[in-house]
Amino acid sequence: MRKFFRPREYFKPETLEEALNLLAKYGESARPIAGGTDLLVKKPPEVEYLIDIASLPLDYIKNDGEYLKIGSLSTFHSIETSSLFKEGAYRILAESAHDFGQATVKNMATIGGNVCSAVPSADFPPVLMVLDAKAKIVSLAGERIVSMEEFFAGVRKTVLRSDELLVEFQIPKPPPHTGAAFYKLGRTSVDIALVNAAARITLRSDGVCEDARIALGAVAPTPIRAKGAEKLLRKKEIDEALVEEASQTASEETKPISDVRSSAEYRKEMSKVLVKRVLQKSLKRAKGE
Amino acid sequence: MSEKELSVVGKPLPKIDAYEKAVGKARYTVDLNLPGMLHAKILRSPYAHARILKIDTSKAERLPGVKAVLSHKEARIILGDEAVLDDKVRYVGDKVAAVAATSEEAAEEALELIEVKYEVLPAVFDPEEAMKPEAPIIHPDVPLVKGKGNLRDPVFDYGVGDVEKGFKEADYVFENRYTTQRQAHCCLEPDVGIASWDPSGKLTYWTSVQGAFIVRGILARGLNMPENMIRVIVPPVGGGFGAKYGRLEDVLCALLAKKTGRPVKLECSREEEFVTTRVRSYSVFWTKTGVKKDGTFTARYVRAIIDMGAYAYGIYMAQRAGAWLITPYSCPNCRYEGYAVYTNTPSSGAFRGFSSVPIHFALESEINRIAEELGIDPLEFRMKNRRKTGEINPYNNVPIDAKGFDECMVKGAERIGWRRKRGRREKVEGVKRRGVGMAISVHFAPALHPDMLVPGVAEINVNADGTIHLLIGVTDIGQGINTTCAQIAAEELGVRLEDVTVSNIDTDVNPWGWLVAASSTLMQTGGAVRAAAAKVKKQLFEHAAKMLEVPPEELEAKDRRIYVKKESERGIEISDVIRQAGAPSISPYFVDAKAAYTFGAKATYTVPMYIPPWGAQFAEIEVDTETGQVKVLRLVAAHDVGKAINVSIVEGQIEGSLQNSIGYALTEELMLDKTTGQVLNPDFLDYKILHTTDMPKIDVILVETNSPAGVFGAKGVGEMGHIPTAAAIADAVYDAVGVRIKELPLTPEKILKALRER
Ligand SMILES: Cc1cc2nc3c(=O)[nH]c(=O)nc-3n(C[C@H](O)[C@H](O)[C@H](O)COP(=O)(O)OP(=O)(O)OC[C@H]3O[C@@H](n4cnc5c(N)ncnc54)[C@H](O)[C@@H]3O)c2cc1C
Repeated sequence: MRKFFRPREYFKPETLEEALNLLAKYGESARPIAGGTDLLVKKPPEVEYLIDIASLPLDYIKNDGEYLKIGSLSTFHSIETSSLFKEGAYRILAESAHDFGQATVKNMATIGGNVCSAVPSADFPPVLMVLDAKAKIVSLAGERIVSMEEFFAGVRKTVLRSDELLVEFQIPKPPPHTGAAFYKLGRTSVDIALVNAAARITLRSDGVCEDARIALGAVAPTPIRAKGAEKLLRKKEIDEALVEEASQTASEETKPISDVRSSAEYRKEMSKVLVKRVLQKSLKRAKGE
Repeated sequence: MSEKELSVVGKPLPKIDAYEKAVGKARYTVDLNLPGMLHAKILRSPYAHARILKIDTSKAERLPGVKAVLSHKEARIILGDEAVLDDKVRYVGDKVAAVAATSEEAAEEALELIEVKYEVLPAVFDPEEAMKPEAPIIHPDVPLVKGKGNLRDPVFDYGVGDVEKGFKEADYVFENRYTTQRQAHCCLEPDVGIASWDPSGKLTYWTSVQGAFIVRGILARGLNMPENMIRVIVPPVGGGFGAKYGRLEDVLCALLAKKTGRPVKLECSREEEFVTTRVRSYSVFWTKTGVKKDGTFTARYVRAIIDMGAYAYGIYMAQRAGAWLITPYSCPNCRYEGYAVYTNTPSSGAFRGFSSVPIHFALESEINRIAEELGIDPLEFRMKNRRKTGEINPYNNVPIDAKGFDECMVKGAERIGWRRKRGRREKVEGVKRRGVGMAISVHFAPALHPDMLVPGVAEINVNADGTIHLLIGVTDIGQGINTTCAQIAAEELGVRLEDVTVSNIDTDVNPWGWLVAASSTLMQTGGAVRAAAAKVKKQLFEHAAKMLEVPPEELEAKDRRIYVKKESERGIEISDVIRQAGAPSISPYFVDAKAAYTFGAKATYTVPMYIPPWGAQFAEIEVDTETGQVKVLRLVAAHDVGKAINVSIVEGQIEGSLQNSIGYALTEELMLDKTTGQVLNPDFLDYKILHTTDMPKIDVILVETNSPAGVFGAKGVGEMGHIPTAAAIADAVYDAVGVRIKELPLTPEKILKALRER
């Protein structure tokens, strides 16, 4: 087995087709590289061919009325500063991008890389999950659409095949009276999350909860939805006691580990605190407060 | 000396090397490469304690690109208790073998090919465990206290009066245990050296270090060579903080260069930087304090257990930490016991706030606790017990100069709003609570310990055009000593800052200098600079006096001009004085000759007495009672700096210390696996230093008391800001939520646990 990260060759394709051809040709020994802020830190020794996808035309954010479409090469800086995310439920995209790393990393790191690295603590997957995002995946064989919930297969594992690229995230237009929030707990302002949580609440005009989505990161091998907690909230009028109960349930749905960053118990306890905070904030926003 | 109005000293002038550093053009040792240079890598031990039974380097030697491999067979050169390469390893990361190859990659691959057979020995990772008689002995050959495991002999035991008597006289006796964690320096430029031998057998060594002459001494002893055959050059240094005072890796690098006949560069990886560069020690403090109801101390006792790790660089911490028990407060009975203990963990050593930082956390925290329990305001408590000028300091039996101490406390308290805010337990946003806390600091200055009382040396050469070359023996590690010394020379000589060039250190050229350490550099070397400049000024005045036809005593120099004090329009440019001193010449080529050797001087300066720097810091913080997280909102740092030669540099030193010490208080900790002794977080991903975005509002208050011991009245300020921060923040946490955390760092988990147990 190779012990060192010493790629033999580096390619910088200009077109999607070229990139897909290279991926198909080199298979498991090739790896796409976008911002490189994860890959070049991890330095996986098995990688022999680097396919730099940074020149592909995948750095865009557009809204076609029905779907918000974010190219996988969009950086956290462009998401944080996009005029499309100033209000409404989409606002949490900008807010979570704001909490991400520091300026230098924000200019390099891409949303595609954040999701494809499949690190349990990554900040965007929970946000994309509560927004009901889907990933558009392409290869020479064609195109497929995978929801965020089905995308992750384990720690640093996804459903992507080695010949595929994730090219776009598609986020459906949120219904009216929808509010969303994101909260990240780190040791300092520049950190990967000890726990992160996102929520989205949609209210009916009479104030009853129509839909609720809760997602957490860093508390299981993949980002998770807290479906039991969501169920408690749906079709109910949400008050403080219910938020408390749902937060407790969400925390029980987590399966965190202990590591140098935090103990499992702390992660579990914080899951509750964070879910409570994102629910309270989403609710306020859904009510237009 | 009657002081003229200062024109360069006391001004917030930009550092003389600021531009090249700001634009990324400064060339540090890591940036240097020599033609034909090889790269070295060190094979490091996977075991915390083991004997090397067999080592086979033949496969590694055959790898293309590999030029030399060294093991203990050739390099078992011992200095103190550590060998360049040994047949035993004493912590995970200890040196086993070294390779020099044509590329870093080849060297790295060669390490994998070295075959080592270890006999794994039992290991011990905790100093209190290591003192038990049954603990595995890490250094059988050094003096150890009998029956106390790895406790190094001697135990440092000193004090004043009789503490047992003092405890009997007390109304209350308080006992406690505090611990402080391992902290890493995190220099941006890692430890690095480049060795190159010339055909005459002379070694040149470029390195990133705080003491060029110390490294020269290590190389001379390690290589058994005369010092004049070793030349150490120090380019700009990317941070030191106490880490860089020479290492046996320097000898290893030189040996590899000698064996291969080519220059060799040995550079720490970031991981090696975390694990192998002598961290701030893990320390345990057992405190016992006797007080009267009114808060008067009757007895103070501390037992300090300093974890030295694998090698004894940390022994000085155990020896000297008692100074900070005895010096700042009046108490008739004090006793300090310092234990220095070996463990199978990374060695500890010097770090900004050397010996002061850990014990201040324990002692200042305990004072805050005692004051609280007696119902006395912690500020009042300190004002009552603090030493007064003229009192004998039993630590060195010399009258103390405590000017500035009160002012630091009073001004700092006022700025933070102490009386308004203390004890209010202010609620914000439902689950958050705010509080304020305080602590004081005192630290080294030259003349506290005779072995640290080394003179500063400076040499000034004058060019024919009136510009100056200043040579000093100490290193600018980013703290700005070159700029400060240039200001002193410019002030004394009456030239402008830009007229003075200060060269980085080359031991073949510069005068001797000690380590940049113990807040001594400015006081020692700065004093020498002023003395050398005064000599040169005298030479200039003698010449100018003849030209102006007045006695030299009536002259003054300022802004490149020498003039008659009472008739300032009667004067002459310094460059003209120098030119006049030169011999008349008919060729434009040779005019400088005489002028250049007429002026110039070398001088030394020894600090006459210990006058401590004093400081007080106040923290305002917010605790999130649900997450346990502490946010520092504001820090007020009031320090008696004697005199700020350069206000920007002084404030920068204090601000930098605060950044480093808030991290120490809250997030920084080098963590070890409790069963293997391996460092778990040797990277910036999990060793959490603070970022600019984590910094609170900072108020630096400079108290200027004009110390009679320091040049232009200055005191050392490089370390003071680090010392009281952790105790002040811990006290503020108490003020906010009513729990005292006695184990640094103050992590959210510890705070939540304490809140639950309250
Ligand atoms: C200092 C620092 C701070 C950080 N802070 C944060 C933080 O706050 N929150 C957080 O979540 N993360 C953080 N990270 C981690 C990292 O920056 C992010 O995960 C980032 O989004 C990765 O994006 P990238 O473009 O750099 O990915 P790369 O490193 O280029 O790629 C990561 C992985 O994804 C694959 N990949 C990339 N793009 C595609 C694609 N389009 N299709 C298929 N596979 C692809 C690559 O092959 C690789 O395996 C931080 C990292 C650093 C160094």
